[in-house]
Amino acid sequence: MIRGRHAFERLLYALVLGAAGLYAASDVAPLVFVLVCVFSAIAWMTATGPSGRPLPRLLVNSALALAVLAAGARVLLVGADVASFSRFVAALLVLKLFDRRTPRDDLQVLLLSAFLVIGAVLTTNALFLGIGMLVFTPALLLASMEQQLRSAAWSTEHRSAPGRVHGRPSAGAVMSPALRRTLRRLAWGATVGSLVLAAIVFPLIPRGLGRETLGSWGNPTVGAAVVGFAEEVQLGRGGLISDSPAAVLDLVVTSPAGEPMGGEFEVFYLRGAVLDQYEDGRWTRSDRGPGVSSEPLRMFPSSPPHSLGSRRNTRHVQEITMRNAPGGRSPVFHAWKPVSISFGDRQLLYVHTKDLLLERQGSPGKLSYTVESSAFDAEPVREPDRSREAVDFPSEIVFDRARSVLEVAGVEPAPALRPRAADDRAARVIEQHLQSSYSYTLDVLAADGDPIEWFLTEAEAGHCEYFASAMAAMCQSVGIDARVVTGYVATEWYPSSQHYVVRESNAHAWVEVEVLPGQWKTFDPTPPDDFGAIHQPELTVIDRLTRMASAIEYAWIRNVVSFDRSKQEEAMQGVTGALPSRWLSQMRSAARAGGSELVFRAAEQAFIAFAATVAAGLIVRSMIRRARGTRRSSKTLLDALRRVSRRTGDSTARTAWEMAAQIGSVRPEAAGLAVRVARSYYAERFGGTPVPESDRRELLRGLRAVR
Amino acid sequence: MAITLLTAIGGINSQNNLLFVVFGLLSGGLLVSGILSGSGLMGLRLTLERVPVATAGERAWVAVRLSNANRWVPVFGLRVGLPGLGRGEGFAQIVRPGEQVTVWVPWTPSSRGATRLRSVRARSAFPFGLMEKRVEVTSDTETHVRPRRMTLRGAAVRVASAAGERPGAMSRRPGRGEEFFGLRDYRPGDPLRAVAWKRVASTGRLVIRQHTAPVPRSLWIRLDLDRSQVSGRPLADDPATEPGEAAIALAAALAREHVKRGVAVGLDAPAFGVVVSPSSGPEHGERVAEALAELGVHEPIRRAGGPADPGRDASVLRIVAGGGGGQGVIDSSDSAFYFDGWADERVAEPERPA
Repeated sequence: MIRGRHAFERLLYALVLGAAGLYAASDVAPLVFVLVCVFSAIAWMTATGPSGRPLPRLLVNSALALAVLAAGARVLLVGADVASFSRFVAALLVLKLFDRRTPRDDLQVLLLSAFLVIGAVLTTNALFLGIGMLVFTPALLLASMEQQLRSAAWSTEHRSAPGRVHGRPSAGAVMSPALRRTLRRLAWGATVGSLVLAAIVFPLIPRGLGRETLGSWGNPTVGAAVVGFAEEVQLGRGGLISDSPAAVLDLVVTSPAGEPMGGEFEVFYLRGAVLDQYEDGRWTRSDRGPGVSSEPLRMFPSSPPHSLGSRRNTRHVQEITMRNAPGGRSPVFHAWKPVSISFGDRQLLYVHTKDLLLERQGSPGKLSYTVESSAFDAEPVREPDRSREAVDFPSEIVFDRARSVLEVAGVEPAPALRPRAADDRAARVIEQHLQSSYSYTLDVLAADGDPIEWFLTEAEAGHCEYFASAMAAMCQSVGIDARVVTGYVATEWYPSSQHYVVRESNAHAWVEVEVLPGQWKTFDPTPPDDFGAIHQPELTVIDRLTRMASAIEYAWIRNVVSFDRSKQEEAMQGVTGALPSRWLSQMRSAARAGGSELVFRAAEQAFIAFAATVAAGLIVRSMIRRARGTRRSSKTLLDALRRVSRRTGDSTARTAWEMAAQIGSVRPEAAGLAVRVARSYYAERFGGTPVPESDRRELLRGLRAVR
Repeated sequence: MAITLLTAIGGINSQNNLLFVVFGLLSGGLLVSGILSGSGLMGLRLTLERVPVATAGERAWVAVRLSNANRWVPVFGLRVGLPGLGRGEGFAQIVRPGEQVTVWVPWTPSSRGATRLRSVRARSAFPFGLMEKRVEVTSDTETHVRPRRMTLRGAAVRVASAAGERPGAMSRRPGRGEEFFGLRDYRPGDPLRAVAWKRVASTGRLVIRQHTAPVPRSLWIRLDLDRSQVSGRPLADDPATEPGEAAIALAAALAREHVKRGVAVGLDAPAFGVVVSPSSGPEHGERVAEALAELGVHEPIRRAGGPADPGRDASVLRIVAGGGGGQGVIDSSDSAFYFDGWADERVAEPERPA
């Protein structure tokens, strides 16, 4: 084995494993990586080593048929998604490792590796993939350069000595260490050059145009942890409790004027589920109230923010990026009280009018949206003061506890006698009572009887769900409307980027109380010290490192992954007043105003379709040309042989050899020529050795002379 | 190109920013590829360094010098060829800035005669095979390709052997003639039938009998060809397709054979006005081969008034094209032997020059 060859093999295998690793990490599919590793090791030992030989074609083709069948079955069962495509590519890649005969096969391995990385890009846009690509790209460029040199050497050798069609490259493959060093430097240079050009091209590409014109190609995530909440809380189980540090969303809070808001000691409660009905230790959503908006609203990136209430008293604007939103219908996390919402992608929006809970339906993956919220007390009272309802919480123990707490604090527990304005104070008293009299524990305790009663009377300890449940129950028991809210708390503040990172461990439960008719206020009965210990712990060295990585990751998400039309315009505003996307945006607005939005969209789609057709055409044309070129030129030789064969009295011969033998038997003087024609035909048609044009003319001329 | 376009479509369709980055990288790669190969080749100079003496049907190596006049940019993966002269190419992995490299381009001429090397071409698809750039320089160098080499066999060999010997002449050196020359001690490897058994019996020493070498004489090879019979076209496996060219190749083979045996060989091709006086030695052999290479292509080397006079001691080997059913005929004095073709085994392939 030649030294240069060995180094190239190592590089090739490293690329294959790298591509498989990136994809497996993107799709959280470790099995794919393990399988690729195992088969690569086998291929290295059997098909690549000094005595290695490619697998017989029959075996390769059989395995290929199996891979196609498996991919087809997966498409039928799961659908034609990015994962199906990527896993099929991984299978082809592994197969190709066993079937490398010429440098063209090496090129196919490189292309398949690149396709696998594109599969990873379509799956996730996480920072690790970006870093992985920074390593993968120069390695791919280096391998491509080496492959190019080896291919040129091989085909030069091949052209110079026709007939040696197959066989791995030999002499041309020798690559001196100095040349390899030069190539390495060149690969780095090409990478830097490509990156610079990519950095120029990236912000100039028009954004927001032509999305999903050719169907959904998946919405990449930027994290593995799927954000999601069940619409119930079952006390006595683990529920929301998680100590996973996986980041689930990023939050930027600004004032309506665009000033950054937030800080190390400012906490934002992001609602996910609102539960107002309790039964048998379980909180669920009731059917009370106005319910859900009848029809989901279609939200487009270009749509104006959807108004959910008066925006006069907007207090803050939240820009939220969920790193991996689930598919289907799922909550839209936001701070109370949302007054408008807009999405960066196409979504269906569901608005629960009774509690302003927001849900969306769209493709899984990264989800970016902006919510404006107003202060709870800025909303004027609109509803008339309705008559107080009787005690409606079905627990005497809870009611007794609430009553005694309020009485001690001098607040009237009976709703009929208590003025409406005292509800806020009553709620505050209950909140403080729970914060001061009960202890926090993350241990999941098995309740004996009703969990809330058990928490209030026996355990006197629990996690946030118990505290929130107890407060909501106590409020309801004294006629104050209250509901348990689950979601995330944003506490991890990054001063450098002025944003919050929210992790799975920031899941929390709290309470919303109707302190005045139509006015709901957020209360958190969890003891503040314990809350701080859980959500704002002292930072260890590892924590600080993790935060540094998070800051970098956020910069990546904000500046690369979430770079949309608005950011494009914002970034380029000072550079140029005219951007392609802005022109297109203006044209689109004008079209919308003129009622020709459909025409504009049709033009977008026509452009995409045209470009796709051109790309497909280029590929197909080159394939057809290659196939037809060989076939057509070799066919002239076969046809000429056939004509001579018929002229000399036999039309039964079918193959070139048969015809040559027949011509030789009738015209011995032409036997040599006929054999030469047949040999050339086979070499060209099946051996990939084109006959030089001058030779072809000479052979055809010779055949024409045979009578 | 198509993959870049597909990536762009994928990016637009999915609005995936990382795919836009990939598209940017691929576009950058295209541009870098164009710049690297283009700027490198712009500084490349090609010179036809050496054109070898080529023989039809045999591979020859043409030396092409590549000079990189660039100050900074190396040139990679160069495939150097001779347009119009077959598909053979030489290869240079790298030509560094300011460096000169000689590339040997294989060339297998298919026919005898004058061949013009009109241009030299270098091409490279480095670094990514996305686009190929070419440099082609005109050369206008002419070379004469020697007739196809053939191996004599059968009757041709017998005629050739007989034609170069003068019966009855004594030689002063041992050889394979028929006259007795002397005795000498047996050496390992001597044939047993050469042992002089009577002398061995009388003296007890193992001696062998030596014969005289045949005395070489002049041999005229006369090519009785019309100009119309010489096409300069490549010879097919079947000599009947180009009898004139077959006759020339036969003449070359006979001349080579006799020059090797020390016979003074002359060439006479009356229809072409070519006369090469008999002489011996390798240089003369080259002269005859050169004359045969140019036959019908250029004006004659030596113009004579008519057919050369063979002289009293000279043998004449007449080669006729188109006689005897379209085959070549060797006519040595009173006998005619039909030339029955040649073996197609080639002389050993020449090695690529170091």
